[in-house]
Amino acid sequence: KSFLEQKNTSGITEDALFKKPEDGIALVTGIYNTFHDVDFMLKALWYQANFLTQDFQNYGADVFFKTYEVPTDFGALNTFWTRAYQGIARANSAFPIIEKMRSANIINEDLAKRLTGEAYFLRGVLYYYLASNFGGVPLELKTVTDDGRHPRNTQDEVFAAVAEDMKKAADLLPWKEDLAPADLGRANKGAALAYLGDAQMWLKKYSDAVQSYKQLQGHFQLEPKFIDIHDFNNQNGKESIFEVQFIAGADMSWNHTNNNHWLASFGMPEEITQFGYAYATADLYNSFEPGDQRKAATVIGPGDTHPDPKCQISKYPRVISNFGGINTCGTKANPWKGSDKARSGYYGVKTWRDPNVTGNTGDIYIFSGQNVIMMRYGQVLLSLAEALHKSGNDGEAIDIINNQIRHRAGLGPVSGTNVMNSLLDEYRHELAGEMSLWYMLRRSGEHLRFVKEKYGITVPAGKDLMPIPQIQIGLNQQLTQNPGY
Amino acid sequence: QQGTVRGRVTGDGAGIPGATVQVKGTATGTQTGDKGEFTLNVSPNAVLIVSALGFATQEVRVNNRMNIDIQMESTAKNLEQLVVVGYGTQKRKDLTGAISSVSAAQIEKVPVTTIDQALQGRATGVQVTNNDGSPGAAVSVRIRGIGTFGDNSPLYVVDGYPLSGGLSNLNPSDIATIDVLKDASATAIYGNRAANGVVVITTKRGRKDGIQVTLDAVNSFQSKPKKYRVLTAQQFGPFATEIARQSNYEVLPEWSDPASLRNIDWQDEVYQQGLRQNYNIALRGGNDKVQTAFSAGMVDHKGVIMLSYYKRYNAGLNLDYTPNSWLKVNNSVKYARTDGTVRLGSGLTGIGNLTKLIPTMTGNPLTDEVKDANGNYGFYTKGKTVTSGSNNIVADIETQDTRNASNNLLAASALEVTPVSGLRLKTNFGINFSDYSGYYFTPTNNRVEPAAYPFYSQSANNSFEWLWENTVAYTKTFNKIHNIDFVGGVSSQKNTFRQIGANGSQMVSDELRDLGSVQRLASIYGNQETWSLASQFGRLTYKLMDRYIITGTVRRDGSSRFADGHKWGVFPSVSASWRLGDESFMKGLTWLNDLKIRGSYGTAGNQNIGLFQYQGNYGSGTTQNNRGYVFGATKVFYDGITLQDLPNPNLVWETSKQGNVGLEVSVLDNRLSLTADYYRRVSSDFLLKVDVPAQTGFPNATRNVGSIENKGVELALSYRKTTGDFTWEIAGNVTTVKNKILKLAPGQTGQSNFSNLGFPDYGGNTWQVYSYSTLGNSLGAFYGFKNGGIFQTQQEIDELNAIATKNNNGQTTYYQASTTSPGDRKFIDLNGDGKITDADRTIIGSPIPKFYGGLNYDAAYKNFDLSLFFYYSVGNDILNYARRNLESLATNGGVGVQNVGEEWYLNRWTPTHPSTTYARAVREDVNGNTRPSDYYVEDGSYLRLRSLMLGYTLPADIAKRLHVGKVRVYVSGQNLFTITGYSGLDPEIGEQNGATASGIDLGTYPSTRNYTIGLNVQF
Repeated sequence: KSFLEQKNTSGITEDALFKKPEDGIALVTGIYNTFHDVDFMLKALWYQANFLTQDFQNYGADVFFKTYEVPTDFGALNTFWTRAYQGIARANSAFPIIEKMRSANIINEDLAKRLTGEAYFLRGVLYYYLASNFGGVPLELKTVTDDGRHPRNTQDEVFAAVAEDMKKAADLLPWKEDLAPADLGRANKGAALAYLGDAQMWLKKYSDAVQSYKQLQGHFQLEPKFIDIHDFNNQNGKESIFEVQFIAGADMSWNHTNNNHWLASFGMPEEITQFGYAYATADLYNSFEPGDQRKAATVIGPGDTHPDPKCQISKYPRVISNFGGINTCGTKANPWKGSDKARSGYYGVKTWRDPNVTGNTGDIYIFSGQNVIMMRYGQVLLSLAEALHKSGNDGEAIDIINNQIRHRAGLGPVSGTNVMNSLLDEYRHELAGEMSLWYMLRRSGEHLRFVKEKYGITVPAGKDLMPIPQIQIGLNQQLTQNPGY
Repeated sequence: QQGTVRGRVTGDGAGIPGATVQVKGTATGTQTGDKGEFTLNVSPNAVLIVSALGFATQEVRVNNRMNIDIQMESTAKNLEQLVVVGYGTQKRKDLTGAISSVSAAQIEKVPVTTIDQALQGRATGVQVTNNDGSPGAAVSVRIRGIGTFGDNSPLYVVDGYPLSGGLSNLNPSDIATIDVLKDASATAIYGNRAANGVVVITTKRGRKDGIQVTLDAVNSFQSKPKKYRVLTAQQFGPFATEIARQSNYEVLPEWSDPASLRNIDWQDEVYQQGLRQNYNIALRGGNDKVQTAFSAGMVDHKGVIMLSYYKRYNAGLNLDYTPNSWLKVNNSVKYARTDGTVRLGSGLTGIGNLTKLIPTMTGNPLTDEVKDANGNYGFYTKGKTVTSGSNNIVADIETQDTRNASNNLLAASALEVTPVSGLRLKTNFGINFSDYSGYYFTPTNNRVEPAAYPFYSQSANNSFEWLWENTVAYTKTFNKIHNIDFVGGVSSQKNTFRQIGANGSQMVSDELRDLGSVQRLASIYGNQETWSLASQFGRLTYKLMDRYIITGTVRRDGSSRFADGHKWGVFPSVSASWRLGDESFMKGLTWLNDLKIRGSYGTAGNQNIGLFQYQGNYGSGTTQNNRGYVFGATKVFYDGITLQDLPNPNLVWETSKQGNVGLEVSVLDNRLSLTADYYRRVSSDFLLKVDVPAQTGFPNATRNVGSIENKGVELALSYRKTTGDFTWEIAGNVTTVKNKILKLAPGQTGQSNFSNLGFPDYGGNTWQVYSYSTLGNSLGAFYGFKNGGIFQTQQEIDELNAIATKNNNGQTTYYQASTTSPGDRKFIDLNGDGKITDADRTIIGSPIPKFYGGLNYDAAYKNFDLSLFFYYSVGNDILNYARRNLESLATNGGVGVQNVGEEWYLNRWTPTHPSTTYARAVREDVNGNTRPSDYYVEDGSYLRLRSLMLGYTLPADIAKRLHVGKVRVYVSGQNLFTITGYSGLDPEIGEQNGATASGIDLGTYPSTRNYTIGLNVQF
């Protein structure tokens, strides 16, 4: 028998690795890498979180979000699916290896706990976004060895698995404030608890969610000024719970690496970057109450200056050469609707904060190395308010809305008495243009009403869920398409 | 008046005992003695009829001679002839499987460098294609079609040693016989390596009756290759100027003055006459106890393109001892040293580029010649995009310094004991060692801008392998009518390969060949890997009354290439034959000499895949793109470790299941014989990268999937006749093969080519996909658009654009491209959507011939012998990329304006010369005129006179006066003519890169005519 056992001394196999702690750390680093994909961050996560709310619209090839008729072969959906499962597979393969390293004393108990916790957290996060977007998806909780032609689990089963992962992660991970500066960006206990609460919300376990969210109190704070949340100089700020970390490279043009993203120049006016493929609606712009300090930090339009002094519109090369260096986002007389006037003239601000990005042809800086906030305390507080409301504690819910969220926005108490309506408005004005709004709305069950009331659009039956990518159904006939498609 | 005639009857180089020598028209006759000698009293003008079992009967005139040496020609259908099968031999008449044999006499008819070349056209079911005509070129050998996307090469077994790797190191003149095992009955004994067939090679061993010395000298003069007709400088200069002006492209001003340009014919510059020299000496002989066969030989082949060569030195010794009746020891040692390089070979950057080079040079102020008398090389004006991609190829070739040398040793010893009659115990141990070293150096190149640094690459590898086999064989006849023949055994084999190499640029000096002086190291590599095989096997043949024969074979093979639980496979086969001609009720048919029918079914495997493919490999290192992440407030990039491919512990060998029925007939005193076979081989579980659901975390995985069918008919027919001194034989064979993909991965309907062969990708002519293997079609079938002729008017284009626009709800849409103009090629809208898209591609040809084979005519009259040998291949297509190059102005790299073919230039479409065949001249091929299409697919059928040989053997008495046994001189010509409709240089085009890239002419190092003189002396 041993005569036919030959050792592979050329390929880097599992046997050849994981004999030193660095290998275990690098294995988990590979899971984080899942987020380092331009299309995954922009066209998978950001698109669905915002285009489906209609507060942002697409210019270019992907305009079908306006009618919710998203084609089943839309490439970004497949990117969403394949990239998420790639990360899940990386996490699944990490658990037994870390355990083996721990039992062989290659890594100590503390490091094993941290690494295992990070892997649980990342797997949970990826399932969280998959289920938020597609509904139920197949749950793969171990390395797939049989080609993976498995059917879908239900949405509830997936969120239950997310909750399980997040509970384990929360038990294993340190608080963010206990992370060494060099470890910022790693998963932390607060992040696990926030996603745990969200999973419990999806599962309608509202009092459990209240318990989860409340544990974050004292560990995270709201930024006093809303505008500071997405400040380029305030990455990993005190309100931020989980950020995807990016870094600028030598080439930030088309030969860039995957360690940066395209959220910035993609949604800046065509007049500045020649892109302008995502723009905000006038409805969003006009929906803010007077005095809402979140407005300028969320959307600007004709005649508005950029709220961040680091982003002087007048300094962009194309504004200098084509618009005489005006310092506003277009003018009322001549709004920036793009060369064919097909855009609204309003643009998102939250992704327009990296002062290096000029996105200009001939200029090299198109992509951004600024971190992207996936979860922050403002969102957790609103989710807590919804959880309180749904578990019958409207008083505490209104208190959070009025005295924390609206207070920070420079607004007085809510005028209406319908707590759910107030929550929807606060979700919209707090989270528009970030990575979560549509998921918050769909989770609340009020998303169809929201779109109908704000935009007069009736979402075709079942199209609030994104279609399972057709190519994946082709590869796995066990997958059933969502009923709307 | 009667006289005494003495003589000797020989065949296959040895005296034939027991041959009958009879005087024609009389009852007088005798039988030859132990060494074939005879004495007869005959009249001086008598005619002798000489016959011997297994040899063609001859009539010989005495013609006043007193000494007559009679050489007998062995019949191809010699029923008693021993055929080497795995782990033993069988008489041809007892065979139940399909086996083709090629004799030394046939091999000697065509001068070849490697043994596999000698198989071409000789054996049915074996398709042999020289990949090109370069010295030492590789040869594709395909037995009964292709059954895998992977390695389709047969297993070669040399004197019982199963070789990993090819045959190129062996000396063809050492070969006694080649037996090609084709059906499962014959191959199953080689188990998991036999799916593609087995070629069994037996080398010459020493005789028991004295020593024979053989000297061979062969010189072949090779003519220069045929040339592609391309433009001269005087044609090119103004043409390029005109084209460049149209497309607003930079040209050299001097091109517009053709009279000032020196014309350079690059083909003339690099083509030369070739010379192939081959010398062999052999001493073979011995006595009853010891037999030896020593041989030494060399091949020195200077190719028809400058500085291409191949040299090989061979030495071999077979040494056999038979100390007594129960013990036998066989030893053999074969050594070869090879050394060869081809600096300008087949392919896009080689000969494919030769016809593209601008036919004139200006740039070097010293000379505009290729090379002037002082050794200055001409070059192109530096820094001009128009000449970028063009280089002085002569300078490149001459300044390169390349070496590839290897040493190979194959040695084996076997000890056989016969303790009781019929029982043989044998142990066989062998080693196969090879050692390679090579380097590649290009000096500083100031002919380009920026100047290229010197580059040096050095590598070495060696492979050590051993084999140990133990067999037991038993033969016994019971009650005179039952005969059993058994062989069984165990085998183990282990191979370790090691390599090391490095390369880099910026040498301290152009004179050095030292990695230590490389200042910028580009890569270093070095690794080692081991594989091992362990096997048990057995074969039992039962013969009833010499007429009913049944054989069962099984081999159980274990291979280290597969994971635990999947290492072992069992490969059984069964076969039977009925010697119908020997039945009593057939005895009345006196014209019938032999009639046999046989059938077989069984399996064989192909384990020849990369090592450790069942494991998943991790990626590590400093790649910033797909593994790492950023941590920390100050943002530091950390590299990650990720699994790069899905482990596949279930990986197994490919399996081939084959059925065969055959018929063998000999009639008219064995003069006319026919062998016919029908085969159907279904190969399954071949390895393919299969798309898998994303849930695995991977887009694809290597899996055993699918099946491919090869079926066909093989016919071999020969007729021989002897009339007086005139003996002749005509033989022909044909093999049909129909290759069909039955199944691919679940849901998969086609597999595109694996490699892109380095095709440029720009403009509208992507060649990324040129072959597509689809269900129901053949593997490696060409894929592309259908040519619909040339657009003659703008109106024609406008009408199609209007339909395309209408189909697209009125949104402006073009049939082909927005810039399509009259003179552009039109492609056919196969799916009827009104526009040309990738969906309009289809299968446009197949490189697999419908049938192929050989024809030969051999004749001997007195001391003269003549042989003609043709090879043919019918129904195979060639994708002629070389012609595409001749019809495209752009360079391979997409910059500049480069040379074109004269045929296209003179006949291309222009408004005043509206061709319906040739497209207009454009520099940027935005319409994709030169995309893969059936316009470039040509019928590659051909009939080639591989060899014409005329020999003269000195009369025996003269030879004796010279104290030699035999002297034969001959002249021959190879490739004297080829009948083909193919427009390229040579229709014989093999695989470029595996089975999915076959039959594509990228500019092929051509085979040319050879004129050979040879001398063979024996004493």
